[in-house]
Formats: sequence, structure tokens, C-alpha cells
Amino acid sequence: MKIATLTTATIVTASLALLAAVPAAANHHETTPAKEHVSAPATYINSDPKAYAAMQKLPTDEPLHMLNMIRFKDKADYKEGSEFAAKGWTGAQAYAEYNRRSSPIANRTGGKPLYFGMPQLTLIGAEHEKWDVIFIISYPNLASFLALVSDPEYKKHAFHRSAAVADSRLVRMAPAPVPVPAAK
Amino acid sequence: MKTITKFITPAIVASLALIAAVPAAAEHHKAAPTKEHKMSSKGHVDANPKALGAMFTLPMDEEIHMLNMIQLKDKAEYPEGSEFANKGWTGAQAYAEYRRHAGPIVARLGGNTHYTGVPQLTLIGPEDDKWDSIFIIYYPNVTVLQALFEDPEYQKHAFHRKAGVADSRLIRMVPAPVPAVK
Repeated sequence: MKIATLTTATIVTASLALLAAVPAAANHHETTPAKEHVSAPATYINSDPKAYAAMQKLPTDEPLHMLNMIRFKDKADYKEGSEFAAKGWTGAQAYAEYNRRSSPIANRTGGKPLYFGMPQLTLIGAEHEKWDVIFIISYPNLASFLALVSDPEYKKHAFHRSAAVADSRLVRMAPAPVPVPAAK
Repeated sequence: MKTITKFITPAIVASLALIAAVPAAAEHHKAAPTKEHKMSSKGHVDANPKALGAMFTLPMDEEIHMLNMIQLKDKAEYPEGSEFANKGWTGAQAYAEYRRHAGPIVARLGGNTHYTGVPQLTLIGPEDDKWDSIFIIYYPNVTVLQALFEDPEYQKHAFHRKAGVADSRLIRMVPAPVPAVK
């Protein structure tokens, strides 16, 4: 691997294990209204409660892979009065804090970081879709994921994610076999 | 070009190949006009030429991972008169045909499939982000990817991708270390 060519900061950022926000997290901390005017593209930070409900109808006993795509805010956006508001953190720093708090909990509930990539360029896609980190976390089953997102300690710290994230995607996948070598 | 030779290992993997339609391929087959404007997050099928240009200003000699997210059309859309137009294929069938042709070319050039997932649900994102396939293809360097795009055999069959794909993403990444779990 050409890891040596990455900066340390890049690796550190990438190594942050990172998870999803949950509806509970949304209540916990209201992000300031998006600054964009009417025509700006929509951004997504918290999970869609409808999708969340739909997920619970999917198989509960199969392993799941959560694909996370994250773009950080330039500056972390904490609520006024929050002890973090005055720290002058970047979005990346707030996300690192979220990660520091949430990854031990994820580890405890069975979540495992499976893949990390540092996005460099979107070749196909909307121009406003720009990602800072992309990663996949595996969970042995739905209960493992739900145990994370409903964990009181997790919920307590989830506001760091809202403070950090400008736009995100979270896609539940079923693991699939990597195809066998092509014949030719 | 010596880098390429070095990586020609026909036995390497990859039957899911997949990449972007190249500008050349776009000429090959005009798809139905994209229904949405540029800001939209829907209907992206071909590589953005600007991004494609920027791609080659990034490091040339590092390993890259291309994240592919694919939403298939219900029914494949071939140009009228194409021998495939009357087959009544689904988008999935057209895309499978694309992969059948592209996969061995990718493998010959030294690329392989690093990860494959079956998307089930978008929890965070636009409601209409409904992916059918998500996978990551490894290339030893960008020259290999360029060689793929320029491969005459690849270009010849790229119209199947366009016929099959309703929306897609293609993101160049550098692999990063996965943190250890205690």
C-alpha cells in the first residue's frame, strides 16, 4: 500500500471509526439551519425516520454493512452555550471527538470497521457531492447496530456528529461475495 | 506505459468490472436526455469531463479504489435500431452484459474487485437514492484506469452500461488503513 504517501493527518482522520446518527441524536442537538438559499442542493445529516422504520422490517439476523459517506463542515457548528462552541474546532475535529466517544461503544456492541477510503474525486455524480471520508462498518446483525444507536452513552455524545457533518449518506448493505476471477 | 506492462496479470480477478462510460463511449450511444438539471442528485450516468480531467492531475503512481454505486433502469434503453433494442432486457441484464465484456478487460489490465455489497436501504440521503449495486474496484494506478477507458474493446461495449444504468456514482479513493478493533 502506498500509505506512506498519505499525510498523517489524513490517516488519522481516516482511521476514525465512524457511525451513523440516529433520530435520537437529532433531537439532542439541533444544527443551525443550513445556510443555503432556496436553490442550494439538499444535504443530509440525520437518518430519515421512515427509512429507519423500514430497516426494522429487513432481516434482523443477517450481517449488515453500513456504508458511510461524510463531508465535514469547515468549522464545527455547536449550539450556542455548548462548552464546545468556543473551542474553534473544525468539523473534522468535532467528528474525531464523536468517533472517540462512539467507537468503543460500537466495538462493544459488535460493530467492526471493515473498510476505509479517502475520497479524492467524484467522477460520476452531482458536483456538490464531495466527501471527506468513506467507510464501511460491519455489524453481525440488526440488534448489534440498534444496540449502538440506542446506547445512552452513544446518544449523549452524538451531538458531536451533528456539529461536524455538513452532508452524509448511510446505506445499509448486505455483504456479497467478491466475484471469482474472470476467465479470460 | 511500463507500469501497465508490469501489472498485466490476466489471471487477476474481477468479473464485476465497472467503470465510467468514457466520453468516447458517450458518442457511441446517445441515451435518453437526462431528465434533471445538474444540481440534481439523480440521473448521473457518464463521467463529468471536468472531473475526468482533474483525475489525471492526481498522483499517477498510487493504488486507487473506485467506489461504484449503481441504480439500474427497470428496462434497458438501447438506441432504436440496435440489435439489443428488441431483446426486452431489464437494466440489470444490460448491465450484466456490460460487465461480461468489461470484467476481463479490467482483469487483464491489473484491476480487481475489492468489495461488493448489496444495498438494501438508504438511511441517510435523498429518498430516491436507491442503489442496486455498490462495489469497489482496485487499480494499481490511474494509468491502468486510463488504459481501460481507452481500450477499444471496452469502448465497443460501453453502450451496455449506458443502456442499463439509471443513476450512478463513481468516486476515486485512496485506500486507508482500517483501525484495529480491540
